[in-house]
Amino acid sequence: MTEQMNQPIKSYKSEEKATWCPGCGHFSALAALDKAFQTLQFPKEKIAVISGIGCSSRLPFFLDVYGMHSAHGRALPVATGLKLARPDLEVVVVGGDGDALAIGSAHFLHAMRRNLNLTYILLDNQIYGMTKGQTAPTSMVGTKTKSTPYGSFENPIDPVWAALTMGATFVAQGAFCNVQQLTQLVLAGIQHKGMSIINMLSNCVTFNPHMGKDVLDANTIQLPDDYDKTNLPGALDLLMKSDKMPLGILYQNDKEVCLDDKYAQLLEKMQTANENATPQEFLHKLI
Amino acid sequence: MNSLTIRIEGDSGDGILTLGKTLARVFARTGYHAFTYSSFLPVVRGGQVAFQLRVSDKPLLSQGDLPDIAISLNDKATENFSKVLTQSDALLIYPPPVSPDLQTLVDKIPTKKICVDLMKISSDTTGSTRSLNFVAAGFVIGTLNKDSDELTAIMKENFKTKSPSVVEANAKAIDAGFSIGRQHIQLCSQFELPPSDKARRLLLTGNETIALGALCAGVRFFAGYPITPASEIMEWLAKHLPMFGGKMIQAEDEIASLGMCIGASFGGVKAMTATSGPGLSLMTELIGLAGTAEIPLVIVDVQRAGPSTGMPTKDSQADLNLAIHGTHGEVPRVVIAPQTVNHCFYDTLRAVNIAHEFHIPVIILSSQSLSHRMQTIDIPEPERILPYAEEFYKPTLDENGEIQKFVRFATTTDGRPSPRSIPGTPHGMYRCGGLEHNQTGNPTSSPQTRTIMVERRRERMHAIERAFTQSIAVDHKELEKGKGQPIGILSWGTTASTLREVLKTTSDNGWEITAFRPRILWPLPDALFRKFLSAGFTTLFVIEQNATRQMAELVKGRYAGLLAQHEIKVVSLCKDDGTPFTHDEILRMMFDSLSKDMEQTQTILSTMHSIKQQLNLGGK
Repeated sequence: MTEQMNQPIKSYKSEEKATWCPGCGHFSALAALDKAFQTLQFPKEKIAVISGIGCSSRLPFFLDVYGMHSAHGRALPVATGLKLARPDLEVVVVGGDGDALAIGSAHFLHAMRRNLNLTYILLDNQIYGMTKGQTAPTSMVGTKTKSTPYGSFENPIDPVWAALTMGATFVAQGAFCNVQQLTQLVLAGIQHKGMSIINMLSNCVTFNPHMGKDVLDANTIQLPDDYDKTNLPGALDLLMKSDKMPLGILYQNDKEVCLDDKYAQLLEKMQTANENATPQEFLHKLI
Repeated sequence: MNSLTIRIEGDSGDGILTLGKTLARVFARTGYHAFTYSSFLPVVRGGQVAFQLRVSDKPLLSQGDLPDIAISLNDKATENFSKVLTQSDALLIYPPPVSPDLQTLVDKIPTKKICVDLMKISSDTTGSTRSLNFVAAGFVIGTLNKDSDELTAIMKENFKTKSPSVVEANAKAIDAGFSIGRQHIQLCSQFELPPSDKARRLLLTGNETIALGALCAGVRFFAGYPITPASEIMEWLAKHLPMFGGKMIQAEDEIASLGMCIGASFGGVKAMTATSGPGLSLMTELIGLAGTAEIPLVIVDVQRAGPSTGMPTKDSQADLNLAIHGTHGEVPRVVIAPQTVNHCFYDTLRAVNIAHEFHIPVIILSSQSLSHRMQTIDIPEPERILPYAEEFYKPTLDENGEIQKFVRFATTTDGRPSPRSIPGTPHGMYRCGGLEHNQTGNPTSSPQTRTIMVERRRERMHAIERAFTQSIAVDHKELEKGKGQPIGILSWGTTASTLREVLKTTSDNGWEITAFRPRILWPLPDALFRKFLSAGFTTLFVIEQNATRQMAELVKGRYAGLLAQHEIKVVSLCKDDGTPFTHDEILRMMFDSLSKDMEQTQTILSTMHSIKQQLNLGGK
């Protein structure tokens, strides 16, 4: 057992074969996460990956770590409970655009503002794939899907904008066709102490095939080298003005104390002040 | 006097809640049993508030019926009291009525009366009417010939964070009320209670006691969302959990509350949430996840009158079906309903243990009147129900020196769960979730594996049922009584506590009734139900506070054969008006029902008449 532990971990993948369609962008997220874990060499048992429901949410099954494929939209509450209860674990959340921004939208907003030390990888392919092709909260206006046969009317949500305005302290965007950059973003997100979100622009070869590499290349832009990622108004200004989706770390705030640390400080203070070793002792003082 | 019931009614600004709670504490500190009912009584409208306190030298099981001492703090209250006070031995304390009509009405009340302007005494002694409640408290303590020191001490404890001038004013108010009250000692001598045992007890609400139980059971994670009448559980734990290394988080909604508990429990920390009906409706989604992923946790549902928003501050027992069946698909679960504040403590310990023994969600069904009432309880003994020692997966070597692979949902032969692996445990990594899964936890839709998993969940319920008859104590003391008598009674929740007092009354009158008051409601404690239904009665009264006879229908469905075999007629005595059943109300409903059925024996009829006369019940 000891010998095994001393060897570097070469893969975090499980024996379960990934069931996504060939060519699916979600494979990139799995690869990036695996590579990031390899770089960090976290013991497998110290990692938990929590997801909701949808194609992207199948991801935990493909990793040999602790994991839960919870309920549609509920990945963030489950991950929040797990991380609060077990701050020693590395908790990563994975979900799709519908999971994060439609059914789980309330949880998304509150997770961002809580600034718990979680890493959220949002797999944004602008379509509901698992239910076979309906409009998503990130679908562009005019997108024709099975539920919008005459084109979608509603304005899409920009997950990056939503995360920035709701208080996430690490916000990045990557694309499925650039696994190398994606890996770097995931790595930086995991290392950031606080709520990190990496929006991965994904595709759906079956139900939203137009989001291919060519389209993404034409509609995205790399952040310039001199970009100041600590400037929140600057990040928002860039999103407002740019007609292309920026790729890279848009914002990182290392100053704000994350929620787990705030709880740790409170507990230390309260437990020190508490004269009762056990609840039983405390009970007798209630009289 | 067996017990003394004091009802105080007045304006919502009169500090009636403080007055009632302070008086309850005075009695509790001097060794008496106290039982309060703090909801807005149905006769009360607008800004009127009422508080009822019942005290006795013996344990109390219900809030009492008509008051012995009625304290009116305004004319509206006097008018309300004039409608209910019919017993000549009661006492009405009331302020001088403004209208002559009201005075005429008061003159007709057959009770003893003291007209006293407590408001004026407050102004005269403290310069403000704000100490009215403490004038009244002092007055009551004075009339009852008790010592005012305890009252003053309790007031000072409760006001220790307030300015010294407030404390001083209240102390003056107590003294003034007390000396005037002393002048009426003679009138109140009939209310004297036998001496108390001077035992030290706790005076707690149902909500506080559930929270205390959770703390003692080892719950160290709580997520909740504010909702009447359950919020106090969250508030109590928010304050106390951090002292013992636990965490409380206020979630964005009830779905998130349960989701967070699922996450914490997956992480190996005992987790609980508490809500009321509307929250439980939302949580039904994730009850399914906890059930299929076999994640232990406890959900408290403090029932309030529904449907939808209903009457948030009123009592009801209509969430039974939701608690038992709420979620799509079929998952094993346990529903447990405490009947008294004391039960709230032990049933929470049990709920946490059952959840961790069987890897299931356990629902504690409380209700509004139980959650907010204060009741004296003996100092809880958590050591009576020790935490269940759950065995977790530990990596072990097989005969070939290989580490044995962890299989989360390994097949067991006795319906009990296979061990969990807690994150952080090497080699124990697994994935689980809401999808149907195979033994390892990975998704499957194979009919064979599906069948195995469906059976696994069904067998879990059987294993739980077996455990109930073996080790889990269910209150069934009256099962042996009244064998061969024509009447049997079934009740649950706080209604069953009131029923116990009814049984005492009937028993005191020579009429033993076989009664069953189960606390574990799901799965139905089968062996005990069979024993109960075979006691020989032919009329079964099922008393519950809902309109659709939820418990009665459960029993009729499950025990149709047994009911037919023993020719038992099930008669539901139901109401759902927002107020808890009272002792007299249950008797009245039983008697009304029995009177309709002239085949009942003459013995019962004569007992009925004797009780009716004793209690002045009226009715048909």
